[in-house]
Amino acid sequence: MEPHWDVLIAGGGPAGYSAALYCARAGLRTLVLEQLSAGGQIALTTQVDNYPGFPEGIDGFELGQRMRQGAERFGARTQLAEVTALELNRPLKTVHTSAGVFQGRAVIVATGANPRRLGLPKEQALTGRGVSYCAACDGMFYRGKTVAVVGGGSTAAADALLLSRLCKKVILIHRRDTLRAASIEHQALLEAPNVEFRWNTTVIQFLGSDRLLGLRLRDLLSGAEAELPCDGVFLCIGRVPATALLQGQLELDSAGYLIADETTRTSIPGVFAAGDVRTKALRQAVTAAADGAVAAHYAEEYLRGAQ
Amino acid sequence: MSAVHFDLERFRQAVDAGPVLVDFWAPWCVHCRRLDPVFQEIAGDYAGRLQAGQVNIDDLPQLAAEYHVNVIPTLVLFRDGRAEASLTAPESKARIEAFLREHL
Repeated sequence: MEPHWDVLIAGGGPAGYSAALYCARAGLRTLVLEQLSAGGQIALTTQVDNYPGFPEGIDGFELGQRMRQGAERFGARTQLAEVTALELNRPLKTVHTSAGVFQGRAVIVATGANPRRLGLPKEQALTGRGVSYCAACDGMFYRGKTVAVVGGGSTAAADALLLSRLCKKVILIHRRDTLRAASIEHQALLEAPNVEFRWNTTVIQFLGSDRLLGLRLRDLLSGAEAELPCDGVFLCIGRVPATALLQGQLELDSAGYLIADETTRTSIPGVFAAGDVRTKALRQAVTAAADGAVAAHYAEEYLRGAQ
Repeated sequence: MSAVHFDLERFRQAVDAGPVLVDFWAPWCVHCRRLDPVFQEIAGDYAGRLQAGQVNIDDLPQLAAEYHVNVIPTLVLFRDGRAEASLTAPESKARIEAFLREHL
């Protein structure tokens, strides 16, 4: 692989590959660094219905692959590698990865976001052993069983509904007394005979050692604690931006998102933030793709000025 | 070089023949699909040192049960005919490489 590039793009989701497409078409030597496979979070969705141009919807993994192919058709390259450190302050920027060191004159950060963890003891040890973050991924393991869903947003509602079709019983646990989003799933959930709600309640402990056996819950109004036996728990409590490697280098907001306006420019010249990782109002595949195009535009402008 | 699809017989033969990295997966598993391109690269990178193969747990539930695969994707490294170590839902190619460095 070439020693240095015009543009290095960290992350191969919709923002990353949209940026790569626009950069490659502008004649810039472009490398995408992706740790697993194209698509990012949408690659875990089997049906994407809100990305324009696909009237029947499209499988998220397929959409990710197509985005990669579209960018590579114009010469963008992909390296499967995990980014371990970034040095962004000099004109020639360095990205250290599991597959070696890469240098680029501009960097587009499109690392996205990951599911938020509850932060309780044993959470990591029990992940895959009863604790899950993705109903579409792991729901099939709980066919005919009893599961809990934690959260009150649209993802929690959608996951609870999906699980209600597979599982014997679904208990939705939320720290407030109503679901946040007036989602289309809300009514269906209220009508589902096997969905129970525990409002004003939080999880304070995972029960079980080798495998999850249940949850210890606290009622936030009365303070009363109780145990809920269940075979699995799905945590749908939001996402955290993948910016741990950037702390201290780039300006982040209090939630950890990269501060950049609609130009996608960050606090360092030549470094751009695209997609879910950026401070923005709406995090969707389509707005991530839009960010990628904008980042490529300003990266090209920056590189022209830097010459 | 890409990963082999194991049926029961090919799985037993491979495991008896030398080190094998097995990707336990199923068609409905969305994480498994994300892992597949990386697993194919690993199969190529380690060709000659390791055979890489895939087991569809819907077709071969007995193997999933035998090796206690309760969640997929799970990679199991077999050496000398035995399951030596396993890795569940690795989030990067680097994680699999580290796993192989440690156990192969």
